[in-house]
Amino acid sequence: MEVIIDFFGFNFIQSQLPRFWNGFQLTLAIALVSMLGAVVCGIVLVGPRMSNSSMVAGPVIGYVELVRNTPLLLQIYLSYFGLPLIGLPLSAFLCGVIAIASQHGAFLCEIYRAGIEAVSKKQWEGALALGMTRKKAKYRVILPQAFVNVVPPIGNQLVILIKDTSLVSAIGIIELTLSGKMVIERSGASFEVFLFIAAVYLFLTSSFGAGLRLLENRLRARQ
Amino acid sequence: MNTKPDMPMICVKDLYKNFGDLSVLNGMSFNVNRGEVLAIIGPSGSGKSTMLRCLNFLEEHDGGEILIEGEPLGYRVLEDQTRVRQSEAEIARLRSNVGMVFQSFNLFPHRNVRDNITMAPISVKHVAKNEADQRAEMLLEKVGLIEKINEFPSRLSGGQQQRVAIARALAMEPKVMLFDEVTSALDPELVGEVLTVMQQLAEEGMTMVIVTHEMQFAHDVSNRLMFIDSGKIIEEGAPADILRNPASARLQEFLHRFRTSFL
Repeated sequence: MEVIIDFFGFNFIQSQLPRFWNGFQLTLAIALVSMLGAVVCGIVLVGPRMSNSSMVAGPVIGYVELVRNTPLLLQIYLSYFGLPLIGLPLSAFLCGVIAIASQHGAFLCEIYRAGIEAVSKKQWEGALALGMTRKKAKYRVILPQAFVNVVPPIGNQLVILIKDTSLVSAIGIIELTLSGKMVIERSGASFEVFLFIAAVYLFLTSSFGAGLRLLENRLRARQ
Repeated sequence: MNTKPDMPMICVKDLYKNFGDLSVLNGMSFNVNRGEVLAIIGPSGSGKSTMLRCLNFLEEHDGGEILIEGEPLGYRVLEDQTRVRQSEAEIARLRSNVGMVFQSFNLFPHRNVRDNITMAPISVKHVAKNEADQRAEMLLEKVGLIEKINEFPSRLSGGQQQRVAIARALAMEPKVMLFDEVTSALDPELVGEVLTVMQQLAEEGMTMVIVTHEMQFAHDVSNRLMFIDSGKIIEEGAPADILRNPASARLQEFLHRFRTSFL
């Protein structure tokens, strides 16, 4: 038994837990703030994205395409090294959060749009025929149904976001991945450390996923 | 309710509607009087559903005019014949006087039966919640579904959903009810329960326009029957006359396809 424990380096990992704990807390903070930012960013973008006016929708489509089709790492670099050049010298934490939130916000915008468009046109007609204005129909009939549609894809997107927080290590934020790399540099125990870090990410993403499934089941049970 | 007894409930003047190059309505004109039940029959693609949807502006007409109790719906025609589209709020207000029941029910799946019925009175007419609830209960009693008040639509049969849809439309206290092939999507065994509710409404004096394939029902319930084809009224008159003695070859051919055991 001791051999097995030693093979996975449990004792070593245990000795390094305070370092990992700091990194974990930072990862959690980046993930939570970025999630909030991404969800809000998507909500702000989806209205103009669905506008019939190309003057309104065009810039949002352009933004979404630009952000979706360039690497997140590049966007993190751009916000960290580029923002100071335009007079916005923000902290590394904020730069990381802005880059993650804006990319995932663009994906979420498209998810919201698909969810809204997936609600049958007949639901619009049912609401309008009762004398509701389009605005009332949207808020009382369409969006609540769209919300149920988008919970699963939002969950997927936010799981990807949690994993993407590791990229902010590139601008020197000592989150979970970088804290692991620093432990490896001191000890050389790469296998044990990466395995442990993978397990922590797995724990984070699977508990988040389980929470969302619970929400989804509750929403569906009401219909 | 503000009523204008001297005016027809619905007045349709020279109505045109196109979908791209396809002309669906070609200059239809007719009136529906207060308390009248007008049944519209015609082959698939004849324009009957489109015409009905124009009556609450779910389809926007390209020419002509629709008046609900003398008030234009959708467009105001100025003296120089230019058409000015009404504001959305104005259209919504006019629509709230015209109840509509759809072939596929269009109930809101995320709300229970009670909420489906009370949502529009509360949000559109600003009726107090307890008053809207009482009216919902009364309407559900009327359509025989009071025990389903807390169920979600997905837990109801097609016939039950359609009866809830009728109750939902009635909750707005409309001046006229439009029925768009409301039994076409139902299992034949469930058609009767919906038709019974509609018959009861007709007997109570509700003004109704019914697009239907139920010839027997059209014959029994309507005061006037209209046969349309290619977006034009081919024949109209008393149901018994029209169905027993069709004047046009087109209606004779159409009726030939139905069993005429009721004649």
